[in-house]
Amino acid sequence: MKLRLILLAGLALTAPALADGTGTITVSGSVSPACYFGSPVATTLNVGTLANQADGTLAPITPQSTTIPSSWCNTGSTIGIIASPLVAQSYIGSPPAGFTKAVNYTATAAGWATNSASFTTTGDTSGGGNGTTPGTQTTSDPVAQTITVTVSNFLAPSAGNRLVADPNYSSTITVTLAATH
Amino acid sequence: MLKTILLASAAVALLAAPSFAVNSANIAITGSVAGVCSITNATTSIDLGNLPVDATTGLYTGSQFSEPMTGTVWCNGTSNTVTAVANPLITTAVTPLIGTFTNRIDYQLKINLVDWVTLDTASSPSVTINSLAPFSYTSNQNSTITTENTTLPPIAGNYAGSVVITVTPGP
Repeated sequence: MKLRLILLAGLALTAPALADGTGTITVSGSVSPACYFGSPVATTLNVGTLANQADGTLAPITPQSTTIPSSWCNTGSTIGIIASPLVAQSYIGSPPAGFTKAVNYTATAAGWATNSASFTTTGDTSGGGNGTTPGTQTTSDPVAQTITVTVSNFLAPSAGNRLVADPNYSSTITVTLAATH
Repeated sequence: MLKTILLASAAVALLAAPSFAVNSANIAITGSVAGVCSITNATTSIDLGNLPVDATTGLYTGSQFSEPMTGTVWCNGTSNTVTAVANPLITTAVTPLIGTFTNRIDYQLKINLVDWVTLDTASSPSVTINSLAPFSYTSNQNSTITTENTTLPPIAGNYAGSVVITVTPGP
């Protein structure tokens, strides 16, 4: 009897393992849509003298540009641009008939999507009534590019308008970049 | 071991967090317009013709003329000034002047310079109009020139005067 107990104990000690252990751990992560907008090389574009000294109407104005380097979006994106008319800052009230204190122009943002995003201001002689819907262009792929912003096609609200004297005509262009996914 | 894996996953998730960088930029456009005034298509000469003297006294008796004095004037400043100066009819036919004669004939001028103004070469030869606003004005109306009597006989000869109109933009 004593011998049997000893044998059983021996069997238990030498029994082989009956199961092997395997563990799988899933590692996951995600990358959210993101866009980075670089800083404009020039934050101010001075187009100089706006009026023709001979007759006071709008002078031919050379288009001006600046760039926004190092911009990227890691997914599809939409670039938008909106601008305000150039308006005399010191002149109070509405200008007399035949005069204007606002100048319209077209602002474009090129280099991001296939086509340039553009916005043409539509201010009246006081600068009011401008559009509020940005010009946009969308691309479905990630993009890392330099954006070129250009202002051109300066026009008075009505042909023949004379510009009121003012040392400070100013306006603002806003360029935006947004992921679409 | 499990703790180590969880920490590593958290680190990966952190690296992939979305960027919150600014995604818009403003660009200012500036320009300027200098103050300027202009007169164009203005009348440059008026001939009053012969100014007859009295056959007995030799004095000249004034007369009225309606003459075109046209032109387009504009200023784009916010504090513009229009000045007119009328100079009398003078002759230099005889120099020095003989004391019992005159070489001068005065006149009154009524002219439309944005507003109607009257000048008199003898008493009020200049006028200034201050305009606070930009203006553009085209005058196509006749002015009235009224020559004045002389108290001495005018010397025979050609007489010439002038009306000088100056427009100045404000500061």
